[in-house]
Amino acid sequence: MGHSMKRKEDARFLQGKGNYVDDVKLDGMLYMDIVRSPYAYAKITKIDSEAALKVPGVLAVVTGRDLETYGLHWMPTLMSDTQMVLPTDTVMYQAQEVAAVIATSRYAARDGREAVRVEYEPMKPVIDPFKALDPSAPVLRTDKPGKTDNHIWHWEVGDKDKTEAVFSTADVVVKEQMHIPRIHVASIETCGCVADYNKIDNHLTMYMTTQAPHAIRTVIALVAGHVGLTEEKVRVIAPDIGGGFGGKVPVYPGYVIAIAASFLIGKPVKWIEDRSENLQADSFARDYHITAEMAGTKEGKILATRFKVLADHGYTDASANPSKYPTGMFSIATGSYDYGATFMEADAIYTNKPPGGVAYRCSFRVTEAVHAIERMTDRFAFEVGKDPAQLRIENFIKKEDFPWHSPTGWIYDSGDYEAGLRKAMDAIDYEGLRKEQVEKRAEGKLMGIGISTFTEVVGAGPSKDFDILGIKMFDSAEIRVHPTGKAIARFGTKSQGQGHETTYAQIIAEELGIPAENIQIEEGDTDTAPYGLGTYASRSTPTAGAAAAVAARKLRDKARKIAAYLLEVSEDDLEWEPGKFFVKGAPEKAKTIQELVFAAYTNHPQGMEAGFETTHYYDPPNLTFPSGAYICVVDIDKETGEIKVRRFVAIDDCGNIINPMIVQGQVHGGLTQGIAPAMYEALVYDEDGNILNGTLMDYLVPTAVESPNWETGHTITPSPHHPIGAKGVGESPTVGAPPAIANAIVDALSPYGITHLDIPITPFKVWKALREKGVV
Amino acid sequence: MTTPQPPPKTGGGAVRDSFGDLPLLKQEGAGGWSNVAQANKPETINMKKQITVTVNGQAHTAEVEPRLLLVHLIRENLNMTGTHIGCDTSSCGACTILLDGKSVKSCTILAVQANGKSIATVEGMCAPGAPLSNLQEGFKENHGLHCGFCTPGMMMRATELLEMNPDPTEDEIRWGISGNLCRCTGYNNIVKAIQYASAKNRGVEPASTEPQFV
Repeated sequence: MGHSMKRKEDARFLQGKGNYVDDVKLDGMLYMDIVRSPYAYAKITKIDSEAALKVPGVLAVVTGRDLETYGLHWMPTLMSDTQMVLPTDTVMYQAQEVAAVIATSRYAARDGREAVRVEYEPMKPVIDPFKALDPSAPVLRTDKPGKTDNHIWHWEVGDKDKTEAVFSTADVVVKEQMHIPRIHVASIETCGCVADYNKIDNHLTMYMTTQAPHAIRTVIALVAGHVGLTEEKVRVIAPDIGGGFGGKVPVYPGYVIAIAASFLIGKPVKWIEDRSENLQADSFARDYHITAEMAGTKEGKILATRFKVLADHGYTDASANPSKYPTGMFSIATGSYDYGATFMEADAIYTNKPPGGVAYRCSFRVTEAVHAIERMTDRFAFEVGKDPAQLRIENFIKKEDFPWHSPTGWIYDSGDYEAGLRKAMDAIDYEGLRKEQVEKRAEGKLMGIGISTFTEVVGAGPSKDFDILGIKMFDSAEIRVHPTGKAIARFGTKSQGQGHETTYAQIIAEELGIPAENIQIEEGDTDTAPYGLGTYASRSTPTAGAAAAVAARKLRDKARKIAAYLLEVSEDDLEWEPGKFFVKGAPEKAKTIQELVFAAYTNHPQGMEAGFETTHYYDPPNLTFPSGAYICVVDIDKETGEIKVRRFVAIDDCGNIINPMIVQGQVHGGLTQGIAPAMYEALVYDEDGNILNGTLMDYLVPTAVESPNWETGHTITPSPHHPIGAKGVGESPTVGAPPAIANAIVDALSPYGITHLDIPITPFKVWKALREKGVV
Repeated sequence: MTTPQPPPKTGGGAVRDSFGDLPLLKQEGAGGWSNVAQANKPETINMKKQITVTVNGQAHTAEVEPRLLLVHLIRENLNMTGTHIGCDTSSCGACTILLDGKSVKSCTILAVQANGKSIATVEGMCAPGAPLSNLQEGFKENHGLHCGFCTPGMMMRATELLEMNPDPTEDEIRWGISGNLCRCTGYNNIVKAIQYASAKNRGVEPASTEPQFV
């Protein structure tokens, strides 16, 4: 613990020996390519496969009508909505799967795709979410009996009356309309699979880009159990994953079509989407329109907040949220501040866009929530004329007030927000920057300082509240220690770059005294690993990491019994130090863990079960609440609107740290995925539902040039309920960085009366805002 | 040295034995597939070209379709899967290799264009079991990789960068790798990894690899 051990997994990645899904090559493997809709909303009048079937190498063209024969043309989403696998009549969004071509090579499959002729009758799509509930809008989900509008669900939390009462009497009320636009995870590896159905054994092996292999196996059995693919006949293998960020949690139609094709042909079928398909058809996040309000005193005390959300889910609600939380963890939007009145509500709607709602490195909508509260805190500070750092310090939940009960029902486990902010302010010389800003403003120059002091909610979650499709959100660890004292441990999670092979080994090493080098970590194979819900929402350390610690402690208890037997003393006479038990007061009478493990196989007490292995399913008693204090400094060119991030200091608190190198690496990466939506990324649709930036040439993923040199640090407030006091961290920076950047930019522009700009804040947006104010 | 290769299994030359299943497929698909290719249709072979490329010092001869992308030759015909594909617009750099010493995106070059040329991929950076090269070591010591997908392309690009500019500034490194996207690391540690390799290449003690995370 606390040691920057170099990563065990690096050797294979550095030598080109990673094993990603597209590296899987099986005998007789066929290739699949997908015909996609050019229209956002259209009736399919004809699918003509004749020319495609004449293309050399093309074996079959699969349509929705073919899948319908087997009842495989629809599937459930993780939010218990429904989604077409392939359409039989109507396409609902641009780039929707229309037909699949199966061929003997990647190139032949693409040739076949180009030769499939589809005739459409285009219809006027619903694109603007604010018009989706108009009585004149067409009802999109006509597949749902009795559906008369495009409304999906309404959700609310908090105390409406109490909040209204506070708002009606408060000195100061501020309000902004903000959009957190649709963005794309854009992991460098796209999605794909190799579905390998063996007709003789009636067994499917599914190599797949998935963050949650066990849950996916269950979903496959639910979708295809009726054709014989029951759960014991399905093995899901998630090999190395080239980045996930939430995009590899859902089941996409391509996976199901590949399974169907392999099932019917009896040969392995590979499907790898190309980048443009990936950017246009799946892995979308955000798209929340938020009306945010804050009420407080003229002295700067926050008294209440109110948030009203219009959630654009696209064609179906395919979010990857726990089922009781349709808006995910949005209700963390009260933030790091001590006040008692809030009311939040959301309405979700269908539009003719691809299914949205995956996380983009975020614990279920926390990013939207944090953006709203942190923007509004700055907005309020500006209104009352108070320094935003000082206003935050005065409103923070105090460290002695934890565990803190939030007005939306969360129990924040621990935190010391002021310590973090003061550390960040010292690191960046906040006072000096404010002085410099005064001078710069006198010269007519635009310099801004932005703060974000956020609270995250990660590690879903306690089984009483958290499930996906009914499966409780525990996670698991199985540890097997071999007779010679070396171990293998397997988990229900799945790393996509987070370094589990190293950090899990470090946790077990800490608890059991076996060197981390001697502990092999495996994940991702449902035939060997214990069941778990997977890796997303910063849940691996809070759940499976905790399971590792508890499982190791169970084994330590067994080792104690064996030690007492071998040393002929009572268990109470033994003391543990990492790596051995010794007799109290006689440290020379000791047995190492390796000796005790060996005895478990060779000389264990009569009546004791032989062997040295155990499994633990960890059901967390609460979520963990990491926090951070981020400060960003920007300089803006008044004439062009160009924004230069001069410095960015991030102080994170994720409780006890297992591997500082990996935690810092996660923070760096998360920060770049924070600047991305703040300044560069958003998917844009025209009024006909055409995506206007559906390739990596015009969807602006930051390069090393746009990404600043991040300055990072930490405070430590251990989680009181986690076995090793750790909290999740991988997503904190993605959540916390955008409002710090937005606040800095708005701070720079505030002398001209600009109080809010929606992200991504581009030079053009800045220039336009300045021009509207008559500044340029 | 020439290693004879079997005919590639990708490209227009279809794997014949797959067709054998089709009548069966049709029978089983009673009420199933409506659109199944004719089993006995003539197959037109796209005119193939014979090419020879030297990859990591070893010569390979292959019969390829003129349209075959170099990255597919490397990954699928030669089975070297360390070079990855991350996009279809030459934007991400995951497929970066060295072609006669110049870093290129192998998804944007045809295999036939590499005929007679020398290719270096990640697999050639160090022999299995041998010590890591300075760049590989720099990435490991500085945590310059998370998921590993962009890493081979990033290292191939950095190889050429350091050959052109053995002691680059941070800014020169950032601009130098700006054709390669990484979604995991935030680039800080990739920059450090390249600085580490630069120092070691020049016989200078690299900066501390301890994370500045206090």
